[in-house]
Amino acid sequence: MADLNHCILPDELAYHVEFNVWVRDNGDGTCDIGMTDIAQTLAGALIHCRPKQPGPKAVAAGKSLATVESGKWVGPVKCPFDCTVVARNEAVEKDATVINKSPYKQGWIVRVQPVKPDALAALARGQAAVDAFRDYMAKNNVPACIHCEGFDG
Amino acid sequence: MEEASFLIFMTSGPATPQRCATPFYMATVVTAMDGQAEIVFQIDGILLMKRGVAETLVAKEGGKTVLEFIREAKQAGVTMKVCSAALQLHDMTEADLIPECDGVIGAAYMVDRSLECKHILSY
Repeated sequence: MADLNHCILPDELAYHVEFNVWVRDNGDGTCDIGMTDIAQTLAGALIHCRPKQPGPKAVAAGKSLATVESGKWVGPVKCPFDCTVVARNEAVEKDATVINKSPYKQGWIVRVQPVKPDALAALARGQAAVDAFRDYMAKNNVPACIHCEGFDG
Repeated sequence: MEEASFLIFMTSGPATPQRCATPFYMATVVTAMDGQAEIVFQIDGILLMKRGVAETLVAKEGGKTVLEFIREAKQAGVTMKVCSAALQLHDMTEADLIPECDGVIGAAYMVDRSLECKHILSY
């Protein structure tokens, strides 16, 4: 697990750095997607998360998989590749601070099925992801991540 | 959400600051949900597009300025246009408008867009 200026980036995940999301390959043809530690820091304490409903219609890369709101920001969780939503995490819809507390575990937002089987190949991993997020943080003026009480990564 | 289009009429102005942040916030949410949002400023709402007004206006003491809400909405892709008659009402010209404004439109444009958009909000 990489620690970049107090921002956690688990090694086993793939990342879309520009969209600031992580992707976990579940090994059964589905992937979980959520906000990175950096994304939850930028957003601040979340008050609402509205994931897209599961359905057969494909969501195009760059479109919204969820809308998140904090006291200081509202915006989309962008889709890293073409996919269909097969499940959404009701826990984050009930209590969006789960994303702040547990961005990589309890705070997954949607479970998706990629349209193309090699969709994850274009995502960043390992040191390449760390280097890309270092640049992202500098560009977006994020000196370090902020973790709320109860943060478990 | 199906891709939706929202037309938002903003008629409230600096005299009621508590009404001046929500339209921009709602428009930003629409775009975050892959919809399209356009705000039309009429009557006193046009004053929010006047240079020097929104940068000091806050809906709630200690909160973000209305200009910050405007800029977030612009960054999200929200379109903002002002009514030509409202310009005259407030003795303004296009030169008085902030750069976030996308132009001046007439009443027929508003009617057309009202017919085209799926949803209309009014503040």
